[in-house]
Amino acid sequence: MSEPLLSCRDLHVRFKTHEGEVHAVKGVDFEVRAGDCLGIVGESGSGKTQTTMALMGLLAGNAAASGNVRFRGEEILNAPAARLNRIRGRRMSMVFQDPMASLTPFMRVGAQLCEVLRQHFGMSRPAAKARALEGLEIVQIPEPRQRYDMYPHQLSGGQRQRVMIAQALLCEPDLLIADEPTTALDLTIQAQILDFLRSLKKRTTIVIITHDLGVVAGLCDKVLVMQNGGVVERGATEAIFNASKHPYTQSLLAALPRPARSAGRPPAAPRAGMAAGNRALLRVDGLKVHFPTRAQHGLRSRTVPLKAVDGVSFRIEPGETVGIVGESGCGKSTLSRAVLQLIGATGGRIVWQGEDLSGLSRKAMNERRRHLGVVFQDPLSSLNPRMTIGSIIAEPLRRFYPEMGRKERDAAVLKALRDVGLDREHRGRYPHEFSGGQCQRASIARAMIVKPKLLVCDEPVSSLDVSTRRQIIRLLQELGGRHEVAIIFISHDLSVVRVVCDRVLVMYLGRIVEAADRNTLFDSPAHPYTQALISAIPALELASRPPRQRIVLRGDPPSPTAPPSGCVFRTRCPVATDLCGEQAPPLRKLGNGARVACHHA
Amino acid sequence: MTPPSAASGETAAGGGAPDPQGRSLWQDAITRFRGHRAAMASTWVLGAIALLAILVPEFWPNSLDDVNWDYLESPPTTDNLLWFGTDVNGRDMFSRTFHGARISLAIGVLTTLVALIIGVAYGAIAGYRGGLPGDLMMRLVDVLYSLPALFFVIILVTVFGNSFLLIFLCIGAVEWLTLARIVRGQTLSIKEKEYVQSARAAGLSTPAILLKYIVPNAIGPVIAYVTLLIPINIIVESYLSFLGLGVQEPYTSWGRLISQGADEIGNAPWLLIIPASFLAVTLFCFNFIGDGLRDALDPKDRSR
Repeated sequence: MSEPLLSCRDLHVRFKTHEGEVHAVKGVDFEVRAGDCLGIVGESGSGKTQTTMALMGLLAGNAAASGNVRFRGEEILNAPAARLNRIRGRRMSMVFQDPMASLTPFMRVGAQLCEVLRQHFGMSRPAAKARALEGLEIVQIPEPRQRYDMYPHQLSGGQRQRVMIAQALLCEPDLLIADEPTTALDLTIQAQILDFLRSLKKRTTIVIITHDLGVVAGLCDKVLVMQNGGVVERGATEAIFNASKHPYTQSLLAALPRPARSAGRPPAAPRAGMAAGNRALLRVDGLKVHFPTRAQHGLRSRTVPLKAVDGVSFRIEPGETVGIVGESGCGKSTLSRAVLQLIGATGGRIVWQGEDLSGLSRKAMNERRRHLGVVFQDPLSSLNPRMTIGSIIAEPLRRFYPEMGRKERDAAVLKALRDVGLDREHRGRYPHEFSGGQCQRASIARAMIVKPKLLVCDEPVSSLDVSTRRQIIRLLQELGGRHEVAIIFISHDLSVVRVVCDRVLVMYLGRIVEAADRNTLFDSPAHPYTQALISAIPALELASRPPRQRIVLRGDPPSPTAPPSGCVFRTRCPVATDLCGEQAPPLRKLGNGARVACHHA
Repeated sequence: MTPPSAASGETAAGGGAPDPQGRSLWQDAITRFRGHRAAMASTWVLGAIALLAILVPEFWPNSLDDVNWDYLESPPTTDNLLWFGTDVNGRDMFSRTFHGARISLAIGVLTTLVALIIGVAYGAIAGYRGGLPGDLMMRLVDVLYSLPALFFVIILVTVFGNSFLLIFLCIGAVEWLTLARIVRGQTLSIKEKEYVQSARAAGLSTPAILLKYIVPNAIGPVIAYVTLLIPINIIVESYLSFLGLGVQEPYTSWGRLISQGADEIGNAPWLLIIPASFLAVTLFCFNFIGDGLRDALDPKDRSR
């Protein structure tokens, strides 16, 4: 038992690129003993993925690895493929981040699982099938026999990730490496998978690579923190979380939500604008956005509406920040695009400062856009790659103030750059030369330069690293406060919403299930879905402590083309009764001011 | 190793050098193109042929229709600077080859330009508009595709007579179809990009979005295709000339020279071999340049 299962000594990975050598991993040492659960934590570019790729012998062609990697005492770094293949998959398996990209789309799930068994053990077809089904049962896939004959695209993201894990576990490997296994998944699905991984710890040794310390907290015994290709801190999870020595780890920890602590900032005082008039800045009444989709019925196909947004009403007062929360596919992004009139509404009204927007001509609408800013999720793809940062930021000025002189415009752009924390030298550069955080700053500058009254932020920080995320949130808060902008903040991440928003709307399958102000929502969530979402936040919580009450929802969200009758949430609801199947609950007001669509709240 | 706190701490990996002007994607592409050996060599060879095509007709002592009575159908010789020999009528093949180069290259480039303008505009509008009008526009392209292009050009040329300008327009008018498809495909994916959404949210008009957002971003694969379209159009012109519908005497093109050379293949093979080799080399060059451009402009290869 004295020999570690896997040991890695002085591992270096270098890439040859057009612009010289990139030293991605700079001397990493660690060892994993049988029964360990190690978390490798770092932000993008920290070298955590390349480290494991080197271990598995999966580095890209232009990479060179050096150092020592021993698996059960056998040197495997740069070993010939034939020797590696005896170990890879058989005794050391890997689960990748994107479950869709790592399953072959043309092969049935069962066939893919059997292939592994036949390859490594030469099993007969029936034996392999029995073993594969057993594997699917272990990962708790509902109806494994049916799933066995399905293609990957017919499964949901969470189910695909389970299949990936099942495949990795089939040969009962000594070591399971999971690279960001939950990053591509929704919060409630992530909670399911993490729950499952926790139960798996007894069976096998696990190495988890993640950017999210919250994932590590409830799962791993040991942590390795990486930054810029090197290990900055290592130790037992307890020790790192309670008394981290390195400033980088401390900054990562500071970015984590803590379950015990209440909200980060005091509830917003009613601002001048809110008190003055009773006319809302934006009022949305019974908004519906349906997309026609084709469904096959035997030989005939008919058009079925996909109800992305189905009867949503809310109002936004000047200067307030409203969060819209929900899992992917709940219609929150469609809602934001409909509010901006980028997608036509199927029904309902959008009233902007007392004027119905849906009746306007395109030209008249374009004039109103001066007051409607937008920041999108993906910082790189939301900036035109063929334009310089300066002209991207100046564009709304050119559009809405064509009479403005060049000098004046340049001055405004420089001021906008300064406001968002970019340098004046940056204006001549192109988006691809910037990091995600800088691009997002530029997006914000572009949206804010014409001083809009409403800023719609669609997942503005979801694709950013933790430390950058905090800076961008702070920037949005600061600019929002200074210019009295109302903000619609769309996010799947409740911990971010808790910091930013005054009021929160929770959406599920195109409908609002709960609307409340921030503190009411987080302190006493009324809807079972909200409760589940809040308990699914991977918070700074240690495995050794008694776990808090965790609600793990069953199954996946139903398809919006065929929503359940009555309450749309009833299929996953822990408290559903017959009434829920018969009657859709209306949004009703509770004593504490929250509005909830649930019969049992 | 402090946590990145200021904005300057988040500089992207490649942006370390203090270069206020920045490198656009085009400049990146040029750097990468320079690294592509076959493409660079082709550029030089093509440049040399183009230079000769410009200079020879102006300065060469033997003009294209001077008849050398003493050298009828002469093989290549150093006498009288008849380096490529003479044709049946005793005309200097050197001069005629580069006259032909001038016309073939001009036709290749100009017809492609015509096709480019029509194809990009049509494809971008059809893709961006989408819906039923966009579909109808593309079905029209499908209909035109089903007509044999060469046949179509022959009809156009015979109906409208064969002047230079018409040949450009006619070939261009049938070769834009593939371009329209490429651009439409690109546009369909680009218009879903968040920067286009952001342009719409900023109140930009549709023409402005098409010109500043769609076309510049769709143009990468188009440029690569265009370098392949130029040789195709040179060949189309050579078919036409071969059929006697292209350029008229005394002017000539490579296609015409090859057609005449083919008649004399038994007793004067150089009449075929020389222009055909030039055409082949030019086509190779364009293909290599196309390869190089495709690699250079492929955003997936943007290894920084």
